[in-house]
Amino acid sequence: MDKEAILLIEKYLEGVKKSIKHLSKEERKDYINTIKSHLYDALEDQKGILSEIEIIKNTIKDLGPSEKIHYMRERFIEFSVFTFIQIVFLIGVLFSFIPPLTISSYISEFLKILSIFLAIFLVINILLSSLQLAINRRSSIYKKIHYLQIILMAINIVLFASIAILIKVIK
Amino acid sequence: MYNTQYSNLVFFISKSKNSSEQIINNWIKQLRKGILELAILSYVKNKESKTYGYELIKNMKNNNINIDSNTMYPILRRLEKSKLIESLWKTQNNQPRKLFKITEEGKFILSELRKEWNIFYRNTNKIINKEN
Repeated sequence: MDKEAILLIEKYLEGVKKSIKHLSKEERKDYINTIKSHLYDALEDQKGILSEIEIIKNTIKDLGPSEKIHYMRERFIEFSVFTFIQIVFLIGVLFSFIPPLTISSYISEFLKILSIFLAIFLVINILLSSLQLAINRRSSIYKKIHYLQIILMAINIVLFASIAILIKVIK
Repeated sequence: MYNTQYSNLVFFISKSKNSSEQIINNWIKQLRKGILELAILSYVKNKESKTYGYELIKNMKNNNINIDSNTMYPILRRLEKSKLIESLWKTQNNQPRKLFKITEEGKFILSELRKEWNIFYRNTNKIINKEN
């Protein structure tokens, strides 16, 4: 087989491997073997019509860029970004907004309750986004979870704003 | 003045042409979405021996259904995940291939979907192709 074609296949498969790192070992093996098998099927089918390198180039073009071979990667990035923002938000809430003891006990208790609710909703939202990873994007459950997340986010923003305003007023 | 009006007209025509093309493309995409899965499931069922990805793409193309590999494989994965088809790796001509076969559940769902499709097609066709 043409050396250049082999190199091109190897380079493409390396790219695919990088983009599916987050999948299980079994799934990764299945992906790589499926692509390999598809490329060799194309070579066998189009032999004599085009050169090996041309067949591989065309087939890779048809398969799409290696970094986009798995749509789950995009979802995983979305999830990671979303979770990271929420975790930062959560740490912020836990360390900055839990009211100091000098504040009168009434307001202090109220602020604590608000902070606890905010933390709970944030944790629920993180759990929901991880659940979304396992669900088909086109299913109705996915959409319902998505709406629920938006509602929770809106509640969190209101809670966050209330806590911030209350602390500013007290100070 | 005339030139400005003319260039505006050209811009409007090209813009509306682009948006019509976009609308048509979106419609085709929507129409193809569900139907492709039905066609692939039907092909897997009708094929007496087990079939594989490349063969499926080629046969779809032979039937004037253009489908890319990056559309076909996710569909096959979805069908497999829903347990409508099952797969096994086998070496054919010194080459490992993932072979697909329809499951009993897949056969049942396909027969129900075929009935629905035929009714839907007949009824919508009457409306769509009705000429005054």
